[in-house]
Amino acid sequence: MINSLKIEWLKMRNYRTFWVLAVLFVLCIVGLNFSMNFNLNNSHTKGPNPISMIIGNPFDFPDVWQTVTFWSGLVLFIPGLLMLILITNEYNFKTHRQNIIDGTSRFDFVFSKIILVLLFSVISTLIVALTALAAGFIKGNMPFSTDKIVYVFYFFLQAVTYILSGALFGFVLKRAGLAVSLYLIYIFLLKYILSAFLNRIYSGVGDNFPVRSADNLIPFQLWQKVGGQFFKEPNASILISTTIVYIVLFYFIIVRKFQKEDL
Amino acid sequence: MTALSIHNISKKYGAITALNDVSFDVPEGSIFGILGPNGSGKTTLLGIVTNVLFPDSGSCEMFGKPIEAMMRKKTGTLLETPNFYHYLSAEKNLEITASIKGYDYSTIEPALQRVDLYDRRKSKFSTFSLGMKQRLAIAAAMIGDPSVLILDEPTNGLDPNGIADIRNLIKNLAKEGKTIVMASHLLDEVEKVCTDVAILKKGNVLAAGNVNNVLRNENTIELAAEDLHQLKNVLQHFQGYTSIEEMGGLLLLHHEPGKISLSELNKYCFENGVVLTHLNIHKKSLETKFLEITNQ
Repeated sequence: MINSLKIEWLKMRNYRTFWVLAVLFVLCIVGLNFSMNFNLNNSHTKGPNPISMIIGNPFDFPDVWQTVTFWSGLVLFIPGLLMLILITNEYNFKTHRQNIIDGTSRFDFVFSKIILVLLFSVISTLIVALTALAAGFIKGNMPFSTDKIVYVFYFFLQAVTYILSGALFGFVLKRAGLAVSLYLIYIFLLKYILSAFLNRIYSGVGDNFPVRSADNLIPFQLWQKVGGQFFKEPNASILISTTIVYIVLFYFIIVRKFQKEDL
Repeated sequence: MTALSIHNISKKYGAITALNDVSFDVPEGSIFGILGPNGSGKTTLLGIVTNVLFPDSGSCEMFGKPIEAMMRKKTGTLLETPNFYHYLSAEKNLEITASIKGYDYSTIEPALQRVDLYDRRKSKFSTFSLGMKQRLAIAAAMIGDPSVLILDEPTNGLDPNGIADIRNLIKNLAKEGKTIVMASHLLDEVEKVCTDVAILKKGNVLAAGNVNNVLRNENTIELAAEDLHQLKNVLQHFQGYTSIEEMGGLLLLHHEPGKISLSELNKYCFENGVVLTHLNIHKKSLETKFLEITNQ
């Protein structure tokens, strides 16, 4: 397994796209969370910030865990895209074939990508947790608290979902252009349309649509406070269950496909 | 010992039969050519041998055991096209190959030297010409000094010097006792380096075995006399030919190479009362033989 990861590292370390996307991802997380200012005492708006009047300072502990993981979730498509490109590259260069010919077992090849998905998810979660910690201390006014730190775990599930979906699109579609387009269309458009459509037919079912269930684990605070009065929030344990079911399902589709098909 | 044995392999792509019940054995230490026109199933067969394609039926074994990951690590394979990471240098690409095969990076330099790419080791794969890419693929196949090499069209894209280099390389590798399985549509290539051959056409094995037997250069002697009928009768008692036919006032005597000498034949006819008016050797080219086999 260590050798498989070492080989993955050899493939990535001189790949410029990898570094560009990795740096962009970190910049987006830090940028998103530090550009917003909701501090009541230090607002640039004339008089009290209207949003802060409803939700307080979202960067106060323990709310900061939810705030930072929510905003960071919006850029999870970046590591997802990176994963997708790493896989379509293999198909493009036919190195998925060559790796097998040279002696990697089919399972080891596909499993090293799955390990990479988990590694990217762990690293993304660590970056987000550190950002939340920094934001809480720098932008918040409350003492450190681990209440609501469960959102970091939800973020991890969301990260696995996004990055594993990238891998799924890569393994299934194989061609970079098609896979990238469909992944982005799904994440930014289709996911919302389909879940809204389903919700209209069976109330609440659409909330559990693939990727959507992971998104819904971390609700937007303002929407939660205002909309919560009118809408029923999706049940967290059902969301966690469906998210995990999708992760397991994606894993089996990827592994089975790569093990059974002609390369 | 048999290095590689192919047992009854069949493979279809939809309605197209790529391989139809293909069987043959590759003896250890041989240079085994898989010869066939484009689309005859050579690459499909090697794809099955290297586990990237699944056969519909049949199996293959290397040294008596089913082929799996561990065995592929010890086989050097170039299949169809050189497959490398375009954004990495030659050296870094081979680091990946060496890591997969479980060899030290010290195996990389001799491999690059052997295909004359050492000076370009720091250049990105994407900057290489087709011939250089092909040579890098051969270098990758030689990492770890494998005892079996599978080379699919190894001289593809090479210039005449490159082709000669690769031929010499293959011959030298064979001298070291390695088994080399080589697919080619170039008859000339197979004739020059191979000890054994299998001829494929539309997925069927038309012939397999020692190259001299399969591509046997059966010779033909043209002869004529005043009385062709008498000549034919006289020749019926002559030893060493395989068949006889009449064509345009000449008799064509087919025989195996080296079995009949012209002087002996001339003497025999004269002693039996026939004076030859025409006696000539007509060697069939290997190409004619190949076309003959594949056009059957």
